[in-house]
Amino acid sequence: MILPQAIYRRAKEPSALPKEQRLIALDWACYFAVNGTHTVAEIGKQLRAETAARDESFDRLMTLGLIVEQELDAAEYVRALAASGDHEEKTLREFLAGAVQPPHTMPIPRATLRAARPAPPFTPLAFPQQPKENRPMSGSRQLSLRALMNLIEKQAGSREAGQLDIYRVFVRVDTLLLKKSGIETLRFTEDRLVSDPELEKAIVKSVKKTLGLDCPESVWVEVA
Amino acid sequence: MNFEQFKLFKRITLDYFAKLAPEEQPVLGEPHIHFGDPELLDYTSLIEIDGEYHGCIYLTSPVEMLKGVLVINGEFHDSPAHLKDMCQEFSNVLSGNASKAFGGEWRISVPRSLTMAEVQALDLPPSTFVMPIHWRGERSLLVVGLRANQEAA
Repeated sequence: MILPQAIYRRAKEPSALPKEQRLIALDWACYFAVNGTHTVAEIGKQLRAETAARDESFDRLMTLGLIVEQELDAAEYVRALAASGDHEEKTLREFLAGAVQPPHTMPIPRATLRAARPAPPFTPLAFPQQPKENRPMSGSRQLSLRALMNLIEKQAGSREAGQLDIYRVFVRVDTLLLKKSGIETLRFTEDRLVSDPELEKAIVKSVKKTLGLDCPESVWVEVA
Repeated sequence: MNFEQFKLFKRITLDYFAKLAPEEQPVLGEPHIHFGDPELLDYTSLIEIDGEYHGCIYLTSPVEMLKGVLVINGEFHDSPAHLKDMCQEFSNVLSGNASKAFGGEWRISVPRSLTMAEVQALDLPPSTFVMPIHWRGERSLLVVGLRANQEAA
C-alpha cells in the first residue's frame, strides 16, 4: 500500500542500474524524483500524475527494488503528513492517523484507534481579531522559508516561475549569512526556519526590493 | 531574465539531449538553489552573461556522460582532449540557446570548455540555480549563476 505521506529514497542509484533496465516514463520520473525528502503526494503533484497511476508507479518501483520507504521519526511524519496536501478539516486524531486514505486502503486497527482516543478533537486557534503589523521576528517567532517560497510561487502564478523569483530574491542575500545559518542548499519543498535576525532582515529586504512584496504575517511562525 | 526566456532556454537545452538519443529522453530533476562553492562535475561548459544581472550559465558533466555523447557522434576516442572538445560542443550549444532565448537584452561571452580545476580558479557567483538533468543513467547539472548589479543590490 502506498500512502501519500510516505517518503521514499532510491535503493539503487542511476549509476548502479543495469544497462538493460527499462521502465515507462512515469516510473522513471518517480524514480528520479524520490530523494528521501519529498512525500509521494508532493512528487505526484509535481509530475501532475493521477493518484492511481502515481501509486501504481511507486508500487512497481518498490517491487523492482529500485526505491525503498524512508523510516521517519514522529516529527518528520507529521511534517510529511502536512506536506501531503490534505486540506480537509479533521480532528487531530484523524490527522495523525493519516486520514487521507482512499477508500480501498486498509482500515486503521481498532486497537490503534482506542490508543489514540484520549486525544480531544482538534480545534484550530482563533485568528487574531486585529492583524498584527508585519515585523521581523521576536524571540518566539521565526521566518518560515517554506511559507515564504509558497507565497512567492503563488504570486508568480506558477511553480516554475516562482522558483526563478525565489532564486532572484536569494541572489541579493549575502551567502555568508546563509552559510552561517547552515543553509548551503535550498530545496523548494523543504522548510527552514530562520533564527538569525540579520539573515531574516536581509531576506525580507530582498523580497521587497526584488518583487516589490511586503512579507505578510503568514510567513512567520510561532516557535515553542 | 524573465520566466518565459528562462523556460525557453531550459526547453531547447533539454531538446538537445533528446535529439542526441531520441529513444532515451532526458529527465529534469527537482531544481534547487546552492550557496557558496559551486557544484562541479568533471568538465564544465560555460558562458558568461551580462545584462540586468551579471553572471554565467554552465553545464557541468561527468566524464561518462561526455564519453556517451562522443560515441553517439561516432567518436570512440575519449582522451582528455576529446572530452574537452565534446565539452566545447556543449558550450557552443549553450551559447546558441542563450542567444535564442535571451535575445538582445543580454551580452553573451565566448563559450568556454573547462576542467574542474580551471572552473575552481574562476570567481563564479556564490548563489546558483541548479537543475539536474538525468540522461542515460548519468547526471549533469545545468546551472544559472547571477550576481545582482551594484546599483540593484
